Amino acid sequence: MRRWLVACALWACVLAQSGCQTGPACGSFPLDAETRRCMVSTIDAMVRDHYPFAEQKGVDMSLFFKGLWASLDDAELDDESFVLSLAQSLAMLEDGHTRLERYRLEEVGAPPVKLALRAGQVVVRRAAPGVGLKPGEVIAAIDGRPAPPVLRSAFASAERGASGEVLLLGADAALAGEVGTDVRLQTASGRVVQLTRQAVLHEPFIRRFGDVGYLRIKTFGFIDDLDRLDRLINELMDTRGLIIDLRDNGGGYPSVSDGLFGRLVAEDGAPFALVDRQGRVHRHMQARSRGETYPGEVVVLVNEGTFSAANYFAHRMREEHRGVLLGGRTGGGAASPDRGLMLVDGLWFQVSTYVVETLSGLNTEDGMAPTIPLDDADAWYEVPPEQGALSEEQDVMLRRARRYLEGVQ
Amino acid sequence: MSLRYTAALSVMLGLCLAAGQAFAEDDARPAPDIIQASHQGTQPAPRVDAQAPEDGARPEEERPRLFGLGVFTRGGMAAYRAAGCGCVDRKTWRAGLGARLHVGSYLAAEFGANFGMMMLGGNFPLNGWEVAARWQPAPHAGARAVAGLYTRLGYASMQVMGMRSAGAPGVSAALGWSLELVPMLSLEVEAGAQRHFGSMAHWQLGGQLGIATRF
Repeated sequence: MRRWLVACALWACVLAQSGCQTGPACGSFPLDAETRRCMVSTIDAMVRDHYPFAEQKGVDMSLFFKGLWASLDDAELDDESFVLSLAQSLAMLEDGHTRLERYRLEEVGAPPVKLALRAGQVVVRRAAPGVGLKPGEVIAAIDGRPAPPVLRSAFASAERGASGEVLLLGADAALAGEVGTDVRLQTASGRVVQLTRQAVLHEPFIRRFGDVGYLRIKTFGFIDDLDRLDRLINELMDTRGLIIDLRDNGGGYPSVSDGLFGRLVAEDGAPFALVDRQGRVHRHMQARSRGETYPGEVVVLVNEGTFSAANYFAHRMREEHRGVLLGGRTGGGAASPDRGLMLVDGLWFQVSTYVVETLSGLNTEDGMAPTIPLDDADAWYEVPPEQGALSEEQDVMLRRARRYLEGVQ
Repeated sequence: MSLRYTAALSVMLGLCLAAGQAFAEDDARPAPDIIQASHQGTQPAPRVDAQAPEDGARPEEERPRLFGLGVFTRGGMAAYRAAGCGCVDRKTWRAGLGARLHVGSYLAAEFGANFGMMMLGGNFPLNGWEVAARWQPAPHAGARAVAGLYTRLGYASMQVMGMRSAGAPGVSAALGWSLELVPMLSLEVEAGAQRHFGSMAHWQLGGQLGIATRF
């Protein structure tokens, strides 16, 4: 009998250990006073311990901490407004990786419009044809809330899908919601436009323009997309040149972008360093040559939405002189958020811990200018692949890239 | 209490009940070492057949049991060859738990769940499950090495954190050797391969080490 009891106890230990998981750090919604205080003090401690950009970005940290703790002053705030006030405080850090992330169980989408915060005003950056908005138009309210604070808080926010992937971040997070639901935008002139949220993170796809290949990558946020990219590259191996479109690619896993880079080079790329705020190298990021190397010329399309892992990929291309960057300045954001935790159930907080530096010591956080800058880089709106063919006529950057590869400078 | 924790406790409870049931049946039989001694003839066999049925059938302890239940834990590492690039660009390690239903002396069906990591620049948590048939071709062979050989064929599924797809189904095969450390407790070492399909089509080639009990 003793033997059975020992066996049961042993298996109980193993199963209990494998079944255990740590819960949220501070509790769950609805947020009581104690939970809110815990959330603020946790964010305070993590930012104090790790945030690496105070000097580089000229952030007044005392002002930041003051604003953060001020979130507790109004006990009457509802939970949504409280989280919004935390995000607005975090936006002062001007770091797209130090942010709050919401875990959604449904498919997250955005309306066919891109917004930007310029000179304190929310303006339309790009809009799909036919939605009734024009680039440069000022937006006063989003779903009845004043647009500037909504957008500011979105810069320190992201939306995650059910399996943990980052779906929408930055300005897109301000408009994010369940696919199929509507969002109302009110312009400065009082006009109201109601738009439906659509799925946005489609799989990577390819097209052929003669002997020039085109590879569109909307995100590096899915680990199995590396295998998809491998298969797509295989299909384009016979082309003379390749256009890699990273416009509005919000990043994802460097492992995926490094994997793609590995298909473009015959030798391993130079290591990039992850450096903490004391200047110590934590570890190196390697991009190893993988599989059959794509032999042709490469042009990478970039813009201000080329962020994080996509920005990192662009830096790699320049460091290795593997291709030409064409478009607008990249959005930057190449920190490594190695510290994060579930603040409350469904709300994750992470803080930038390391800064990505090139072998030559260049800090990649602020983005980079393209090799060939184009002033009208935003004169384009992506049509999802299932909704229509790629149009060179309406896409100046694509046309320019193709001409470059065909030898017309 | 999380769902995973509840599930783990339920499995544990089920295993304990099964073990207890098996133990209760065992209590009605002579101790295994007595049976073994009597088989080896090293000492006079005790009169264990005192309660033998009068119809002349063999006593229960001398008949091989048709069904038996076992549990196992195993883990190991594998090289990962992605089909898309045709290159070995990552590694996996995993550890798992499972239950095994023995059918006679040669065959067993097993189900196991596993957790681990896929190493590709960073560490990507993975989990999966496998249902397999296990065949031990010569369990009664005289030579211990031959007696412990087994092979396993199964269907496996793998899910890596951050996949766009729901999972990667696949098939698995392994060739292994089981060494009985003490009665009811065996050490198992095996080399195996898994072929997964779908968006993350790949091969995994590696080895695993495990411990198994049979009630």
